[in-house]
Parts: sequence; C-alpha cells; structure tokens
Amino acid sequence: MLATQLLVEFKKAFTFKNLITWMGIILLLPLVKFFVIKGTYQFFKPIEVFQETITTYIPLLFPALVIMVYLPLFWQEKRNDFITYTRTRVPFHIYLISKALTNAYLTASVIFLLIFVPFIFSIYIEPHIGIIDYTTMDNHTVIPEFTFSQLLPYGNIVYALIYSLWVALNAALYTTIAFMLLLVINNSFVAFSAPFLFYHIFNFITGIFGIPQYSPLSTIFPFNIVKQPLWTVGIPFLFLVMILVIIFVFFIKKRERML
Amino acid sequence: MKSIFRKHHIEKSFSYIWLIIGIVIFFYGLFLKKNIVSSAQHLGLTFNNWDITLRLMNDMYLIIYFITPLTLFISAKVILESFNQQILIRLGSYKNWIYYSLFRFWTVFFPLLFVWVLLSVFIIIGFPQSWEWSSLSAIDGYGNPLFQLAENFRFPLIVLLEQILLIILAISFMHIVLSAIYALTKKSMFLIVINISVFLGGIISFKMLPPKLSALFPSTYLSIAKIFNVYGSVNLLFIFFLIIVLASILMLINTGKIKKNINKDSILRNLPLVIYLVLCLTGLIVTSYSYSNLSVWDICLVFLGGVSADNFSYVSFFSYSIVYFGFIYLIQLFFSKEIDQIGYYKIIRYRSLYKWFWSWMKVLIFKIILFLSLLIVLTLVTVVIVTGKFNFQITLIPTTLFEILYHYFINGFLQISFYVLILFIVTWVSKESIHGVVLLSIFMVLMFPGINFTGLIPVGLNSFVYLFNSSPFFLTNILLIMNLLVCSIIYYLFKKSLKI
Repeated sequence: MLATQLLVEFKKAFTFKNLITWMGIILLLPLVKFFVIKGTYQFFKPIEVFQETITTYIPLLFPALVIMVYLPLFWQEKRNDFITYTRTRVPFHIYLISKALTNAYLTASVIFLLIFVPFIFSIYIEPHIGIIDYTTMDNHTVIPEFTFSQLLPYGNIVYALIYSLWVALNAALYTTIAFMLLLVINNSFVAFSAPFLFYHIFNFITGIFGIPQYSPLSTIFPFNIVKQPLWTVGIPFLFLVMILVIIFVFFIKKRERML
Repeated sequence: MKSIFRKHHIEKSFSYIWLIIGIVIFFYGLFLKKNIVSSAQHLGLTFNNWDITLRLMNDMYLIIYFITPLTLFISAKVILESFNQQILIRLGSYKNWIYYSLFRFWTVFFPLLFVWVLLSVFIIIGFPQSWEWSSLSAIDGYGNPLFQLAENFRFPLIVLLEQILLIILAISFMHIVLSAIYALTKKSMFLIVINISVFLGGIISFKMLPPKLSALFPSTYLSIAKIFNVYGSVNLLFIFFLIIVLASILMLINTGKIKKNINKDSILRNLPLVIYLVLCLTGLIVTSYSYSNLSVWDICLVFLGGVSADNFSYVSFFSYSIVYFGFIYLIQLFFSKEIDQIGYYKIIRYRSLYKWFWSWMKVLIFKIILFLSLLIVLTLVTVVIVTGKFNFQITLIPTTLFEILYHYFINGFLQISFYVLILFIVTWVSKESIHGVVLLSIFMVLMFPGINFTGLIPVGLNSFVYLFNSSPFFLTNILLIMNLLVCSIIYYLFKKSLKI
C-alpha cells in the first residue's frame, strides 16, 4: 500500500516546473558563486575551490531552499482541501506518511546533489579544463582545515559522500519540521518560515555568546570557523530532532480533530 | 463597583498576623542591636540609630527567610481568593482584575510594611542619635552591610526613604507579574510552584551563587544594600523599576476583554513579539557586556552597526538581521493576515485599492517611526544600565551626533519602508507564502560582502558602517529614488489589477 502510494507521489512530484526549480538550485547557485570567486581568490588546491564555492550564499539560502523543493506542492493540496478527497481511495496515515517520505527524500536528494556536484566538478573536472589558476605551494603555505577535514585522509570521495550526506540529512530534518508544522498550524507562512527562523535565530544566539561551533550555520557549512571535533556538529542536530519529536507528539494529539 | 472594594474577609483573616510579624521583627531587632553593640565595642567605634534602623531594613536573613515567603504567601492567597467569575464580570476585564488584586494585596500588605518600618524606627531607643553615618557603618567587613551605602549617600535618611520606595515598587511589580500569570493560566498549582521556586531560588542565590546571579531573584530587590552589592549603584535601578512597572501595566491594557478566551489565543498572538523582544534584549545585553569599555553611543553603533561591502562580520550581520529583518518578519505576519486572509473583504469595503492600501500603510508608517524611536531608547537605556556609564562620546566612527541621528531615523525609516513595500509587492503578486521567506533570504544574501560594492542596492543601507565612507545624505537620495520606484510599481500593479 505504502509502496504504491510512494510511487504515485513520486510520479506526481516530477513536474516540469519542479524539475526546473531543482535544476536551478543544483546548478545555478554554485555556478554563480564559482564565477564570483574565479578571478578574485587565490587557490592552492582544488578542495579549496569546492569549499569556497559552497560558502556564504548557499548557507544563507539553505533554510529557504529546503522548503522550496517539494513543500509548495503539498501546501497546495492542503490549502485546496485535496487531501480530504483522497481518503476514499487511500488510508489517511498512509497518504501522509508517503507525502512526508517523498518530501524528505526529494529535499535530501536535491541538497545532496547541490553539494556533491560542485565537489565532483571542482575536484575531478575543473583541473582538466583549467579555468582556475592554482598558485604553486611553497613551504609556508597553510591550507586551512575545517570540520569534516578529518575524513580527507580516507579519500576525497569518502569525504564528499559523508559531508554531502550530512548536509542532506539536515535538509531532510528542516523540511520535515516545516512539513509537520504545515499539518499542525493554520498559518502557512509561520510553518514555512519556522526552519528559517530557527536557523537564523540560533546563528545569532550562538554568535553573540561566542560559541559559533554550535551554530546551525557552522555545523552544516563549517567553512567560516576553524576545525572543530566532529561531535560538535551533532548538538544543534539533536536539538532539532527533539523539536521534531515534540511537534510529532503534538500532531498525534491533535490528529483526531483535524482534516 | 465601589462595594467590591469594601473590606474583605482576606483582610480580616490577616488582621492577627501583623502582631506576630511585629513580635518576630522586634526580637530580631533586639538581636541585631546586641550584635552592633558588641562589634562596636570590639572595634572601638561609635554607633548610632541609623545602624540599627538600616540594618533591620536591609538584613538579608530577615528578608529571605521571613519577609519574602510572607509576601509570596499573601500574594498567592490574595490572588487565589479574589479570583472568581462574579468579580471578573463586575470588573469587566482581566486588566481591571489585576489592578483590583493589586489594591487588595496592598490593603493586606500595607500594615505589615508599616509595622516593619515602624519597628525599625522605634527600635533605636537606647542608641545614640544623629543624622549622620556612624563610624561603624563606614567600615568594610565585619558583617557590616551598610559600607557601600555610607560611601555613596550623604544622609542615611535618604537611604531609608529610597528603600521604602524600592520595596513598594518591587513588591507591586512582583504581585502584578504573579496575578498576570494566574490570569493567563488559571492554574493554582502553577502559581504555587512559581512562588516556591522564587523562595527557594532566593535562598540558593543568597547562599551559593555568585552575587551577579542573585539579580534574578526578587528578594534581592527588597534590600538596598544588596542591590549595591550586586549592581554597584542604585539610582539607575530606580528608573529601571519604574519603567518595568509602567511597561507591564501598559502591556496589560492589551490583555483583552473578559469574554475573549485569553488563555491560548492572546499568548500565541503575542508570542512572536515577545520572542523578538527577548532576542533583541539578549543581543543588546551581551553586546554591552562584551564592549563595556566603550562609551554608550559606541556600543549602540556596534550593536546596530550592520554590515557593508567593506565591513563584514557574522555577529553584526546576524544582529542586523535579527533587529531589522525580525521587525520585517513581524510585518510579514501582519500581511499574511491582512492580504491573504481578509484582504478581499476589506478591499470590497474600501471600494478602492488605494484607499485600502493607505488604510494600513499609515498604520505601518506610524509603527515604523515608533519602532525606530523605541529601539534607540531601549538600546541607550539598556546600555546605560548594563555598563553603568554616562559617557556619550562617539569615537568609533568619525562623524557627528547629528549625522548619526539623521542616518538612523531618516535612512532607517526609508530603508524599512522600502523593505515593507517590496514585501507587499511580493505578497500581492504571488499568493504563495513561501515567497516571503525566499525574499527575506535574498535580502540577507544581498548584504554579503562582494555584492553591494557600489551601495546602490537598497538593502542594509541604514547600517551605521556606511557612515565610514559615504555621506548619509547620499544614501537618503538612493533610498528615496528606490522608494519612489517601488511606489510606482505598486501604482502600476493596482492600475492593471482586475482583482476588484
């Protein structure tokens, strides 16, 4: 039952408009940043190009990107009371679970590719084309290390996979929180902006208290602070998981009265 | 109306208590007297009537273990017994009920305060009398709580008067907060738990925590000596208290009429505003602490500094985002109701899009001006309270006070109204609430270094850091042009719109 419903949802999700949005997210954003940094920065190694490509703009847009992938589609269904009419052909909980899974999976995939594609490009493709002039390294050159650089000794591809998966996992979490809130709250703007608010408010709080290693921005995109132990990235993540659980419990309690 | 202010059985049930409290304070006073005499003889110093009076009023043991629990008990009893439907209906609103319960509270509490002050004054019998500080109260240590007071005040009588005023303000404030909590939750258990934790917190902070943290517990505010211990001064705190009491009274005006269910609705409605205020205050307090060696205006410039293409730091970027975009977010919440939910009905009523637009735009313009004024006042007051300085020099940015104020108010107003107008266009054109979030993100990205080189993109132009290399009048021109442009777009959209 769930499998067929998931298949249906997937088919419904791949509309032309959605595909354009997703391609725009995956290709356009890194490309813009890449051309901004091309002439102005000095690079020694391809990994620096990758790290610089996905800093600044993408971290700031992250909470907006995760809600753009699939949630507008779901919100339209809820706003137009489409869900009520699906109950005759599919059980309510199956429908919602399939929606939640599709949302989490698609968002995670798009964000995964958003990180992974620039990596493949800047490590494996760009050096062959030679768009960027690398400065030759001497003995004094220090390549800055960031959190997750701990994984680099195991190979570039391991680093890329694990780091992209980490960002994708966060994306899935943020978007699921917005999804659950859409079910619980009537005001869609509040629900959509909840991940955005959480992200920026906690960046602010950790910033002013001088603990940026626990900020959402620096745990997902750790390229603006020095290298931290890997466990630090789990703190805001676990906090968010707790929030998700609380919203879920709230939803379970409220479920009888809704829809 | 008048009859409910008649003598109530609560007062009757308390009438015997002030005898007991009188006896307790009297014997405690005798004990303190003995202490003073013995330590004065031991040190070979003189003592006088003010030693015993002020010590009895400021003694932390008496306050924490006796006065505080008594006050909390009376407060809770008054709240629980005076809250019932008949009284609520007669009073008409929760706000009135809170005033009523404050009145009730003071009719009970006033005799106790009176007994306390009276005994403190009359227990001087047998002590040498004077209007000056004694040499005993001027020494540091030996369990003398009056040292800092004797250093800062010329006459002890002023201390006594200020202390009485302080007690009245602090206790009124505490009772208003407690009754507001009860009116909102209507859970007696909750009220009792709060009271107990305030009492225990007072004991713990007195015994174990560093003095800075005891500022969090109300029992500190009953003793002027303790406040000196914690804050190092007291006059500012008076202003602070007055502001808080006034603000809480003003806030209560909005608690709504009795028929409305204020339980969840009003809390949820005010939640964004409360979170916003808490965030701004936290940012302000932390910034003032970490830059406490700077002057007042300099801390303001740091906190509201913002970023430009040349000056960028994550902390000031997020401060700017929270303060200004937080305000824009609140306006967006207003839009989502005004345009998405009731927009059509209101447009039909106003019959013209322009009239409808102006009907809420004038409110928003007023709110923006109010926001800017309150923000600067709040910032200055908080910085003065936290740093305790009155140094108003401007050293960080080479400019004059006039330019700073001009930039803050005029450019700030134009910048915020530009945000609001753009936001309106987005909300009007697309009915998707998701685009509001995307718009805020785009604003934030546009403030990043490397984008707004020329300063022509009108985002974040009210940052103080722009004063480093451009004149505020030039920025005003840009913002004016952009605002006019956006207004003409709105005019065009309305003209084209067939929505009516």
